[in-house]
Amino acid sequence: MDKTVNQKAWFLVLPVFLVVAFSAVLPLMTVVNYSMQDTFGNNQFFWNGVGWFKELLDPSTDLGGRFLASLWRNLFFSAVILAIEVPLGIVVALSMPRQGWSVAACLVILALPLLIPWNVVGTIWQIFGRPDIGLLGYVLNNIGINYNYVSNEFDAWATVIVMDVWHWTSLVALLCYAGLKSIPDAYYQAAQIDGASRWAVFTAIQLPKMNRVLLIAVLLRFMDSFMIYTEPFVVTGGGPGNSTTFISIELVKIALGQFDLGKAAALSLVYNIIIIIVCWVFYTVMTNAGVERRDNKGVA
Amino acid sequence: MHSIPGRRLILALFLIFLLLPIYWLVNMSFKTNDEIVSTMTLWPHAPTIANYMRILTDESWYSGYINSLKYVVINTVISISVALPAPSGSTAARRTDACRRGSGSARTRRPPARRPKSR
Repeated sequence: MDKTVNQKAWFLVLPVFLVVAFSAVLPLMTVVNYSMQDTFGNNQFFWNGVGWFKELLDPSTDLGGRFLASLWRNLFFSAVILAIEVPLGIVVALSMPRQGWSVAACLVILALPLLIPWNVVGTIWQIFGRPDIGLLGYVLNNIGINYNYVSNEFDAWATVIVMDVWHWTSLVALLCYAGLKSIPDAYYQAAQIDGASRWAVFTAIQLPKMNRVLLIAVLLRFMDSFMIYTEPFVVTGGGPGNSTTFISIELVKIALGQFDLGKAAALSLVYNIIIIIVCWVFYTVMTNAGVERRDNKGVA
Repeated sequence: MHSIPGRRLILALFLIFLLLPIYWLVNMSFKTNDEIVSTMTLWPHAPTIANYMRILTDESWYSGYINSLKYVVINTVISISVALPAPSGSTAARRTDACRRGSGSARTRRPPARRPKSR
C-alpha cells in the first residue's frame, strides 16, 4: 500500500471532457440562452424572460396550441406503437423455431429492418405506398380501397404506424426471444408435470421471465417513437395539413422554417425535460422491479 | 415448449411482411424508369444494371458515399482517441484513492456471499 496518490491520471479524462463541453454542453447552454430571448434577425436579440415558456404551455396562443397539439399527436402515436409492437413482438418471439438452420435464417430476416438507415426506411415506404408505382398502394386501390397517404389523414397515419411496426417490431421480438431463451427447461418440465395449460405457462413462466426485457423494449420503443422525425418527414412531411406533424417536425418547422429561435429553443427544452422525466420514471420502475425480484429470491 | 399454435403461419406472414418492402426496392432498382412509371410488374421484365452503373460512376451520386465514409472515419478516430484514455484515467485516480483509504481492494477480494439454503 505504499503507492503514491496520483491524481495526474485525471488529465487523461481532460480530452473527452473538452470535447463533450464543446459538442454538448455549450450548444445546450446556447439553447437555454436563446429560450429567454427574441430575435428579429440580424443577430439582434431582446430579453424575453420566461415569456416563451408561458406561451408554450398556454393553448390559446399560436405557439402553445401548436406545441400541445403535436404533443398529444406524438403521445397518441407512441401509445398506438406500443400497443401494436409489444404484443406482436411477443407473439413473433413465441413463434420462433426452436432449433436448426431456420433459427439463424429467421434471426437474419428479423434483423434486416433494424439495419436499414431511417431515411431509406422512409423512402422504401414512401415508394411502397404510392398508388401509381408502389405495390401496397397499387394493390389496395385495385381491390377497391381508396388509399392515398398524401391526401387522406387516416391513410397517412396508417402508413406511418405500419412503417414503424415494420421497422421496430423486430427489436421487441429479438429482445423477447433472448428473454425466452434464458428460461431453463426445468421450468417447462415442472409445468408439464403440474398439467399447466399453454396460457398458464405463458402467464406464470414466460411473461414473468420476460419482465425485464419487456421493460427495456417498452422504454426503447417509447423513446424512439416519441423522438421520431426522419421517417414521417420523408413519407408524409407532417401532412396532410398538420395531421402527422410530431413534436420534432414542429420543432424544425419553427426553428428552421420560421427561424423563431427563441420559441424553438423553449420548445426543445420542454421537449427535453419531458423525455428526461419519462426516462427517470422508467429507470425507477426498472430498478425497483430488480430489487423486488432479488427479495423474492432471498425469501424462497 | 415455448411455441404457440399456428406459429409457422404467424412467423411466415410476419417475415413476408418484413421482406416485401425490401423486395420492392430491390425490384425497382433493376428496372428502367420507363418500366417503373408505365407498367406494374412484379419483377423486372427488362432487367438492367444501368441504375447501379450510374450511382457508382456518376460523381454527383457516388460523392455521397465518399462523404459518408469520410464522416465515419473522422468520427471514429476522434471519438476513440478521446474516449479511450478517459476510463483508464478515472479508474487509475480512483484506484490510488482506494489504496490510500485501504478499502477498495479488500472489498473486491471478499469471497462471494453464500445464499442461505432454503431446505
